[in-house]
Amino acid sequence: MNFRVLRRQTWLYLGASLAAFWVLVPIVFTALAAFTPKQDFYLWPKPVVPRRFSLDTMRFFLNTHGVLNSLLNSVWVALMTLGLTLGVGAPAGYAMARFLFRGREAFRLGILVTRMFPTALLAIPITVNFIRWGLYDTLLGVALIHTAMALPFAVIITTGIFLGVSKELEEAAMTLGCSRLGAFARVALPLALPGLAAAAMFTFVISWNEVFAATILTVQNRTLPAQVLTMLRVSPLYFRFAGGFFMIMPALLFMFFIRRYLFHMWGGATAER
Amino acid sequence: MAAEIKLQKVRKEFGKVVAVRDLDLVVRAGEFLVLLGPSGCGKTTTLRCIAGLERVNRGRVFIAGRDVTELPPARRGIAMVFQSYAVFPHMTVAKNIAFGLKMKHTPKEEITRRVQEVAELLQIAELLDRYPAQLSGGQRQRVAVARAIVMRPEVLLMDEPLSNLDALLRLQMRAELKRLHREIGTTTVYVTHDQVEALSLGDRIAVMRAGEIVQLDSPTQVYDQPATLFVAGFIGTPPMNFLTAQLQAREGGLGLKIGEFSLELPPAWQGKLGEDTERTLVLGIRAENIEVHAQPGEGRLPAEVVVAEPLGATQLLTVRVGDDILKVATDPDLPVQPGQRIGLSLVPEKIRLFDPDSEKALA
Amino acid sequence: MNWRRFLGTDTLLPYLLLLPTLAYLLVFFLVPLGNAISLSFWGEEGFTAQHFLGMFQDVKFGEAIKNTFFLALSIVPLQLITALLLAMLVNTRFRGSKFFLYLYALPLGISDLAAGLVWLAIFTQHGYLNSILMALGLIERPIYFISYQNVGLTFLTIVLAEHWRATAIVLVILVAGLQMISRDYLEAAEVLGAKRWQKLWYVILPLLKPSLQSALIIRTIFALQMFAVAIALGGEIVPVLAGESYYWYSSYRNPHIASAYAVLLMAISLGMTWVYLRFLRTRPEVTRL
Repeated sequence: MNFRVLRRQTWLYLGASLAAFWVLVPIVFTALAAFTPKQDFYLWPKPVVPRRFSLDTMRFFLNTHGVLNSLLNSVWVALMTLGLTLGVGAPAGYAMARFLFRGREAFRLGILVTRMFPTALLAIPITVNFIRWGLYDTLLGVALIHTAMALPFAVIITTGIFLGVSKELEEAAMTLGCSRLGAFARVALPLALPGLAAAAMFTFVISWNEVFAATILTVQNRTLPAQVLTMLRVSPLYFRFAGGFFMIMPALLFMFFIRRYLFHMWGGATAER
Repeated sequence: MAAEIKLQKVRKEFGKVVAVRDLDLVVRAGEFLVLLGPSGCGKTTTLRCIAGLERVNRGRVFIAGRDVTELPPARRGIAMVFQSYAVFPHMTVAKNIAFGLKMKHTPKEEITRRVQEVAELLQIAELLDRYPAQLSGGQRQRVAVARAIVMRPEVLLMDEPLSNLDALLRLQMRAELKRLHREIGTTTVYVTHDQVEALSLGDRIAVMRAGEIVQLDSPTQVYDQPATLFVAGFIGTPPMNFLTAQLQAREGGLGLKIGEFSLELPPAWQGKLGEDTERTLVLGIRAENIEVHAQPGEGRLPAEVVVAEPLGATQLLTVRVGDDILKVATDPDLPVQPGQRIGLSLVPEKIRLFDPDSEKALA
Repeated sequence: MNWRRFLGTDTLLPYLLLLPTLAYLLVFFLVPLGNAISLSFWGEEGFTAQHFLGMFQDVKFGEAIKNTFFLALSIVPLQLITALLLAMLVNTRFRGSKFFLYLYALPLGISDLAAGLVWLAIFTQHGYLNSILMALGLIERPIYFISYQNVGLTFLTIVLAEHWRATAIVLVILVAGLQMISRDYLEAAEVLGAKRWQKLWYVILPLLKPSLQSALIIRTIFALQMFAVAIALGGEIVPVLAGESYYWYSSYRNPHIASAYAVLLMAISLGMTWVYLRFLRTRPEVTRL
């Protein structure tokens, strides 16, 4: 290896590590904060690495009235959102990937336009409607509005996923004795499954993270972000840090699982199909 | 186990584009028929209409005398080999081949036996436990063929099955497909844009253009007696040469005038060119039917060499005659230089004449 | 013709598959859009501009609109540059570049609220940054990063937090776009004697334009809507439009003015998208090859 290549390599890794540092350090701080004993937060200057690791702060967070409940609510809402979103959106994604039909382009544009809707624009009138329909302050209500927010993404993502499964495979199955549904179930579905799982996790994360709609739509049945947001002004700092940590962790885990599909999904979103 | 296929006025449109235009076609039982044409001519669509992968807009499709127009692919008694092979990546080779039999609820022992049989026929028996990702392109291709013929279909459809292979492998598989057809004798419809493939494989060739069949004949006929200028210009390497010629009535027969050069037509043409014996025609002749002389001379069509390409066994000359450019094949040893004036003699029996307006062959 | 066969036709099937999505979007996008507009324009005596007037007279309105625009204008270009640099870095495909890319994409899964809290732990008065600066002996008293006395600094912390959280999405879009650019073009440019920056300027950027455009649109729209980061970090020190909408609904119980804010946000989003599409027009044939 000559000097120039070596120098170039050094710069590459230096730059890459610097950026990695920028991304990771705040996460590490959050984790440290979550395992710092409560009384340490009153120290000054605060030791960056706590004098001892403790579950105090976490315990306090989880034992705070409403938090555990909101955690469970978040999981339920995210699961419902996931089911609803894929149930409604995946067929549309399949249609977009497989068929050329009149209005396809209009539908695609419509889907892109819905991404421009501010959450507030949807959440406020829907809340007003939900009060009328008896869905106000219910988990289903939150899941319904989260589905509305995740649906455009789900359609775009699943379109990309089904485009990745060659149409000829399904056709081959049909010439070999499968019905259209059979060909889908035996060939397209198993091949799309990892991608669909990634889409499901992505949907889960969208719902898990959403705070605006969840907050104005609920009073008793808060999701975790709604609970944390409404308690911001009345809670001690360490409560907030623990809340941040709790919200981040599942998201990071999911990101790990879907990392291979990130480009699949967003590549599909940008390649003007 | 071979069935006749009959297409009756089949029409397929995609929006405003007519892919197949009221096509009539009978594929005889046991025949190897090649659908040949440039891309976009409707050959693949025709095949997919037979398979049932496209619904026809009009017309009917019969297989073994049965009207299958409304039937899904699964119930047509067909099997198909796809251009991309479409080998299921999540199944082993054995599972891939067994897939269709399983769909038909064939008994397990029979499936195993037939899979083994066909795997041996295609020399992939040792690959049965592998996944497609572990196979080469050529091996995948064999799996795709095995998967189709294990069904013992009445009709075997192939959509450019060799186009994704490299040249050498293609040559080898071509011979193998021919052997296979002779052994199993299934009615086969084979789509390709490669005219060499078509000539080598087909019992008959249907040359397609713009959704229509322009000629349906044996390979020799398609090669020697192209029905239109399009067929003549599409088939053969190099394709047929064209010269603008003036038809002339003379004493004792007909003649052609190419520039200053005159040519006697064989007596067989007598009475076949209609009343008007004073008109412009297109003369077609293949490179191998033109004899090249290093010097122009009496009774030779004068020409000028533009490019000389030595190709090993032959030498390919690009020459100019008047405003027309010709490709002629000569002995590789013939000493010619670009710019040199040479003489050509055309084999009169091999001359084809075309009407320049209708582009159809005369007689 | 029986119905099963009819269902199997390619003419009807795609529409049937789209139907659930269309119905859902109708109920949860089109209807709320209409409702929001009517909420913001309808009063007790029919059409009225009073809600919008109420919004304009809101003491925070001026500040909110200024902050929203300045935040978007400072965050988005910064993100675009960072993401482009990182995307080019990753696209050199050095050993381990996949690993780094995954690291950079991590914040994609982090919510705005959580990101705000993460940076709160750093910037708060007795937070990590002050502690470290103190331990290094660089300061004697903690710096008040977040306070009414220092709105500029507070603003900066929000910019940093948003940059940290949402650059990943831009990065992913750009990397996806870069991967679609064939290496042949770059090699061709190299053969023709292009220097590194010339390759970037004349080959990469033009081919990347569609990706840049979608990243820009997506990011601008979301930056305009951002509110939880601002609230988590700065409370009400740096009011933004989406936050005002939230307060007007949840604290002051006024869905009309809350809707007026939302409609204004939508109008701004549409306007910005139009601007981008208009001035960054891409011709499809340029990128299709």
